[in-house]
Amino acid sequence: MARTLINVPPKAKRGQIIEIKTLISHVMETGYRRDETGAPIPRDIINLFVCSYNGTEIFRADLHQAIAANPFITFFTVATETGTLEFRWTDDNGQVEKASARITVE
Amino acid sequence: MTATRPTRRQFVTTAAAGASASLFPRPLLAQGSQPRIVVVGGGFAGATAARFLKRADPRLDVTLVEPNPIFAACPFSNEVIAGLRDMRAQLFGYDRIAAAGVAVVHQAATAVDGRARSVTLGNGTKLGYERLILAPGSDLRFDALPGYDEGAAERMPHAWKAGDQTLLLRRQLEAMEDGGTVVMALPALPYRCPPASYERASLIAYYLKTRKPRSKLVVLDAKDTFSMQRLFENAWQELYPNLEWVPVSSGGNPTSVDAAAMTVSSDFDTYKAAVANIIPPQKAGRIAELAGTADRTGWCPVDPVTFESHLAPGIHVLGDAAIAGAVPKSAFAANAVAKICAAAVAKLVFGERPAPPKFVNTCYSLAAPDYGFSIVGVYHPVNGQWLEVEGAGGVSPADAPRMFRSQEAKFANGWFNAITSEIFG
Amino acid sequence: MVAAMQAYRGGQRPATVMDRIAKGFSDDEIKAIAAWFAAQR
Ligand SMILES: Cc1cc2nc3c(=O)[nH]c(=O)nc-3n(C[C@H](O)[C@H](O)[C@H](O)COP(=O)(O)OP(=O)(O)OC[C@H]3O[C@@H](n4cnc5c(N)ncnc54)[C@H](O)[C@@H]3O)c2cc1C
Ligand code: HEM
Repeated sequence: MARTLINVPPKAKRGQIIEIKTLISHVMETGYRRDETGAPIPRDIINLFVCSYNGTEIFRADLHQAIAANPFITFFTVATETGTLEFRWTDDNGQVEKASARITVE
Repeated sequence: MTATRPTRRQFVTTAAAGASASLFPRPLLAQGSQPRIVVVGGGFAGATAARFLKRADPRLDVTLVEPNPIFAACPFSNEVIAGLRDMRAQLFGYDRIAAAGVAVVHQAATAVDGRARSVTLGNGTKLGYERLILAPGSDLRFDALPGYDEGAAERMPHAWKAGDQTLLLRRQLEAMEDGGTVVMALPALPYRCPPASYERASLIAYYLKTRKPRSKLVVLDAKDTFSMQRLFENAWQELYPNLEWVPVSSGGNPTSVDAAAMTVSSDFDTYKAAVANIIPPQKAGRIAELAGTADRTGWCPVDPVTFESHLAPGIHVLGDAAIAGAVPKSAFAANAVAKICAAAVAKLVFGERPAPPKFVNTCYSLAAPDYGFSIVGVYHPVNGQWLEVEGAGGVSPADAPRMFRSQEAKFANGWFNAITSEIFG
Repeated sequence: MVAAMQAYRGGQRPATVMDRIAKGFSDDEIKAIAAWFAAQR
């Protein structure tokens, strides 16, 4: 359904504040358009973004109309331990797109 | 100071000059005195304005202030970069403009006093005026893209002002080894002539394809959509497998450059460049800001009929520096609006009312030397704002045969010759 | 010239750009442009 990009520093010092960047390109349907027969085309946008760090949720965003066709979300967190950051985007059809990145904490 | 100026009588400032100088002031001039108009910037807009003011009314005393004795035109400079055209074809002098009765002063304007109605030049001279026309073009913002300052531009040229920068990028491309990656970085809107950045990408890809077949071009773009996109993308698909366009939704937004390391970074990647062409965000030329005509966006809002600044009465702003509804930042539009402004000013100084204007803009782009297409708009003011006339204009057909494209490439040349000879010839 | 512009506008005259341009002008405007050109000679 979509293509994702993530940017997580591969290495960090324990306690360091790190910046995480994410982007999903998703074929947006605003919900305001109609097809040839005049029937409304159902809305399909990314409505939820969640990031977890070694299984613990550290960031969540509920997304609505008029934010972005291809949401670019960037946030900060503290590098606590070596492990995996997992990212999940959910759209109106319930489809989930996943991505993950390893981080080594020294 | 070059003095090709006819002698003129001193204008006596009246109290009314400052206060009531809004749209349609009453005549301020004593019988027989020549209204003084100063035009700052001798590019497409300013040089046109100066010449057409004199043509509209020979009684006007017109001074054109421009630091460079030779003007280097941007349109077709992408062909110079790609090795398809000699730089000399881009250069124009001011002799004919002076011969038309315009006083040409080769100085930079350094300050404007809107109350006293005077412009200060680099050499300290002050020029008084009844009406001032500012046409300083676009300035590059060297504070907008981290790592990209004037020093960096010597290694990673912008070539967004024609001249040495154009030749620098040309030489770098020529000197590059076959196999090197060229990286272009494009800003978000608004900026000078966006289609020209895609024309440049196309012509660099053309050069690489024909001369450096192992090289490729990566275009990092802060946009997802652009004008004539379908036409460009069709051409790229047909001609340039060596061109990779990375729009913002694919993570292409350029976020910083490192001129020493020759790298360009986006939010998600860092690209090593053999040659980097960085087009930074832009704003109105500095003098427009100094004159108090620029707003928070860095551009100058103006009235659509007279191009008088919304912020500083008595000062008109033309060309790239102005932000006027749908009017594009092109040489074509700069020339057109300069004629409109010249006609309006020639009326305003005598207390007459300018006629409602309308104009056409046509921007040609080349995807290859014999492969051109265009975007047309017809513009008219509606409720104080320039809008496109609905049902007119648009882009070249997407499915046209190659013959059509080569015809448009030829007409593009014709346009450049026509506009430059109208202004400088 | 009036005829040429009207033909461009109607799509009857082959064009690269003039069809797109002519569509932006009314009959009166085209006549005014033609009159202006005629007066230049
Ligand atoms: C690569 C490229 C390709 C392009 N191709 C096309 C094209 O095909 N078609 C098209 O229509 N447009 C094209 N453009 C856009 C076009 O070049 C600009 O829109 C046009 O030059 C704007 O005219 P202007 O008069 O506002 O500014 P300019 O032409 O830049 O002129 C500004 C002048 O003001 C002078 N100046 C600045 N500050 C001062 C001061 N303080 N005192 C005195 N003088 C000053 C400068 O020296 C300069 O001569 C292209 C642009 C680029 C970069
Ligand atoms: C309102 C303004 C304009 C008028 C009245 C006008 C008028 C004309 C006329 C009468 C012709 C036919 C010439 C002939 O067949 O001998 C023509 C052709 C042409 N004009 Fe214009 N013109 C205008 C603006 C422009 C502009 C802005 C451009 C773009 C640069 C342009 C480009 C052309 C071209 C390329 C042709 C050849 C036909 C084509 O390929 O479309 N014209 N024009």
